[in-house]
Amino acid sequence: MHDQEGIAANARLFEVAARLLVVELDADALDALLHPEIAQLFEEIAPGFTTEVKDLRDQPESMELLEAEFCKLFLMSKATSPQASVWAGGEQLAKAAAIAAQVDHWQSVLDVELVDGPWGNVPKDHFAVILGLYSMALLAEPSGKLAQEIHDAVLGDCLPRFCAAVSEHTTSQIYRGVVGLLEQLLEDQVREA
Amino acid sequence: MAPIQRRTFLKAAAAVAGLAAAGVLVAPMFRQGGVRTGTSPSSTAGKIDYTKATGIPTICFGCTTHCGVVGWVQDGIVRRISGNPLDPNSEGNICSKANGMLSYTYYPERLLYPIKRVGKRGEGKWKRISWDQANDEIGGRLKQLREDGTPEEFVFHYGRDKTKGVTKHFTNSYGTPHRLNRRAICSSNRRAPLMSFYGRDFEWETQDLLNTKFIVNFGANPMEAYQGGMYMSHRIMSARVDNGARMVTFEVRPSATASVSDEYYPIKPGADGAVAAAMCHVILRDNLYDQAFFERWANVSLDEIKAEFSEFTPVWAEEQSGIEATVIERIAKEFAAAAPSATTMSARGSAKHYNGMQGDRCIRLLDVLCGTVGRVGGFCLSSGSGWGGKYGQDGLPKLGIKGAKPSSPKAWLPGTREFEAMPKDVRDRVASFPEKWQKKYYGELATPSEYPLAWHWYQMRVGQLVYEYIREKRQKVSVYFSYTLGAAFGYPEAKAARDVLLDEELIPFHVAIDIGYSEQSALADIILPEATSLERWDGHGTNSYALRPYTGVRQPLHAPLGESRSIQVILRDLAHFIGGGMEQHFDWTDPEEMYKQWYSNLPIAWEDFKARGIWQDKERELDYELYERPVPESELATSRVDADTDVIYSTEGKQAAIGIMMDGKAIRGFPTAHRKIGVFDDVFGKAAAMVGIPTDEPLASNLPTWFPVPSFLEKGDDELHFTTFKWNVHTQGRSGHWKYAAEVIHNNPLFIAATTAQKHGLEDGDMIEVTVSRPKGYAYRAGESEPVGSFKQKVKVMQGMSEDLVAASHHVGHWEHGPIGSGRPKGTNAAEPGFDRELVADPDIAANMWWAKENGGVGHGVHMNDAMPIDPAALVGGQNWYDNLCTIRKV
Repeated sequence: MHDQEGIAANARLFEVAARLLVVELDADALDALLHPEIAQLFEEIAPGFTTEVKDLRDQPESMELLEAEFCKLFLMSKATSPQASVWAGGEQLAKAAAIAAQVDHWQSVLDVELVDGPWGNVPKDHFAVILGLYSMALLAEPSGKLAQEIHDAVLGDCLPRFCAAVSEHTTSQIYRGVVGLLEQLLEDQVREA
Repeated sequence: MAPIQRRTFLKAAAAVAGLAAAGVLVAPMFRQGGVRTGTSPSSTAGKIDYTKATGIPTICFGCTTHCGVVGWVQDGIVRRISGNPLDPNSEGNICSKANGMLSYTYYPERLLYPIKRVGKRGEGKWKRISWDQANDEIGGRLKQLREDGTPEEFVFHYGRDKTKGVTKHFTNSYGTPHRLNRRAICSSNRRAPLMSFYGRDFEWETQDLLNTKFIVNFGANPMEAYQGGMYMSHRIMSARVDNGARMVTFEVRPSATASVSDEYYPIKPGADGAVAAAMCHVILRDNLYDQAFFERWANVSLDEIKAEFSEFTPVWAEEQSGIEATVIERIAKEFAAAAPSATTMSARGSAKHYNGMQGDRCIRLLDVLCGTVGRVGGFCLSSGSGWGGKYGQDGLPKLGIKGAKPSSPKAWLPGTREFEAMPKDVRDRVASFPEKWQKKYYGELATPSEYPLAWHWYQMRVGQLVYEYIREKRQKVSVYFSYTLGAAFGYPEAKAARDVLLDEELIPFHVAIDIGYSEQSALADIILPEATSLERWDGHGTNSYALRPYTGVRQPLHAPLGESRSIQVILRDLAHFIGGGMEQHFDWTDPEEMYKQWYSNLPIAWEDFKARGIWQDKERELDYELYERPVPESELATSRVDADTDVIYSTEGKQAAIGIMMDGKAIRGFPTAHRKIGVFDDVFGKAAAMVGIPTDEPLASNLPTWFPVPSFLEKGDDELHFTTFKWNVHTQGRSGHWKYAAEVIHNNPLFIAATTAQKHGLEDGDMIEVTVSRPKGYAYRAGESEPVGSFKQKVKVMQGMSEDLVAASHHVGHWEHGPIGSGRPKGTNAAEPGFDRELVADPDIAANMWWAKENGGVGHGVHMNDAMPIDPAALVGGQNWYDNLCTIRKV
């Protein structure tokens, strides 16, 4: 079982991954990803990650290609859609409604609501929203009961399939790193639960 | 990959924590004090729970009919669409297309953010941009154009606009006449005869189907796909089952409407008018007409009509149509006997031909001869949308956008800058037009000079020529908007549209406003995501088959998903960005505010109206015989009577005709210039003369007439007719990606009669190549020997088809619109241009899209529109979709 520091670390990294599924990277974010400890983590997950980030930082004109990659992966394609309902199997609309209700329920339990901005206008079954709640649940509930509920309801089954699809089809080591991180974190949580 | 060391996680997380204060990589996602739904998650799985769902009335957008519906919202998602029983047209009935709204609102590829192309146009690479950036880029260009004094270089081209005038507010206040539509693609060939007969306010008929005893249907298909189909279909069935009404259908294939008819006759393409003309002949020959009605209301004498129709005998019609003369005789007599509770019905099947406009005039004449017009069970004319004081709208509360309307752009008269900028041949042609026509001229895109009847009654335009005209540089375009438009897929010779859209010299800046990534939006520079019909406001008004006007409102069932915005909001923000007076016409914050004002004259509270979705004055007299209604004393007080014509004119305002003196009484008459039914109309001859077509050509006839399609006269033995049709679950090219619609109908085999198949050595399932030729006569690119195009598809042998004909639907065969639309659940065909084909779709679609070729199915259909010639009907410009001749080759 993780200690509090370990849980907090995982929660923090889940948050990072969630954000990278919702917002395109900018120059500040690239700089942050080159922080040695962060870069080391991603480099182990997706070799070549650091080089790609450095190249992008040195050639800002290439950022547009990464933005296009983000758009392709997370905004325009069902094949790598970050909506959990796509990966839940069965009738997607009913799943979307069911997951949306679960998200409302988890927000209610945690006494939170989505803030405006990029988070506020994504579908409620967006993995980023669910990961955000999962992260909060990890920190808020020592028993881990709510986090386990979120994991069992959505993440455990759907997230690995989404991550595998992104990993297979992205041309960017950055996004391969993001979904790789999620896979590792999820496995870690399962292992430690 | 080996598991990452725990220490690596901890160090990275610590680094992230250090950065968090600056808001980099992580940022607050939630705030305290959230929702208190008390919802039990398990209660929402599976079926809709009506104890929790909220029903909100709105208006369907699944097709052009626009039925009143109720959306059932649970957990912020619309889970089901049912009918709104308060809608007097649909009476609570809906079809499968209503639930298509769920497909297009919630499908995961739906565009939810403004995106801008990266790389070459059409390359399929995009990046998200903010609305501010989008408005800066688009508004900046529009503002500059306007400031440069060339607003006409802005073209707003739409496929379906139900804002009831908001887009027109935008283009008018901007100063461009280029608000282009798809009327010619759809229905101008059939609207023109109606407006010629009954006036501008009646471009669509409203049969009293519930009370009719006899329907003669020439190629209309309300049981499947017809503007007003749902309004009509349940009334037709009630009339048949409850009242013993009979329906006879002439059609080239056994449509769903044919299948519920008492008699169905497979007719030769383009021959509907011949049968109607022969029916007129029989009715005239045997004195079966309603003499009193005809002499009172037609603007020609019976003798003139008898002379004109003397040669259109049933025997002659049999040769033209393939329908036995005895059948035509009998049906004519039965129709006349059932009158006035009898009615004709016609649509694309009769009208979308070279001779369709004149053919439909023959069909319309049947009702006038037999006096069914406006009668119980007859061919009625109910007042339509808008409620701005049109004919038949006496006493209705006026509706519309409040405040001063922006003035329309001025006509492009000779000498104006816009006129002089056009090619010389166009200038010469327009300069030769009578002054009355010159005053209606706004350039080639809005008012194409070669098709004067496309803009005689109002600007129906000739949409299928827009791209060709741009290519020919008849109009310079600097900013081009396509709004809910699928020309790149659905227009004839759609490749021509794609080629022009790809050409950055011809169209330097293309903005697509749409809900999805279509073949059209794929060729844009910026795509603006529009709110769907479940997320936005619109006014609703249409003709009432209950013959009592009503109005309704489309309202959002939830906020637009993502950052999508309604068209009203998109245009409002651009108007404010451009400024220069435009902003005053968009002086509202919330679209609800605007529509609340719009409906402020209704005698019902706004909240009550929203709760019902529909308003109708149930005490209002039914719209029978509107023409016999007296002109109100209040209007007579300021009027004069023309001594020669007995037409009553207002002496105020535009001094328009308001009625006619009949038997010493001032009555309304019809909203034509002469207040009678325009059986004779010299506009056809005048229009022909304007464009150099001899006035003795039958298509220029001022009296209704019929003549064969020129191409068909020269049809070779090896040639077949090639026609298209619509399925009941689809709506043009807009529904190929609707999940459930696609599951029902996903393919478009070529239906062929068994005898025709045998003649060509074909069997069910054989693959053939179809090669389509250009039309002949007064037609665009007439007689060019090079074929328009080819495609391959399998044949399906079907009983009941017309001979020498292949017929297929044209809805499917997309290559955009995600895995369902493009039929690629597993994402093959990486070589094709467009959006990244290498992606593999989600497991549900990949496994369950059983019809996909990759899953061993028949596939998602074949795109055929590239092989259809651009073929505007002479004078009026409506696309002659059903005049195609083709050769076939077994492959």
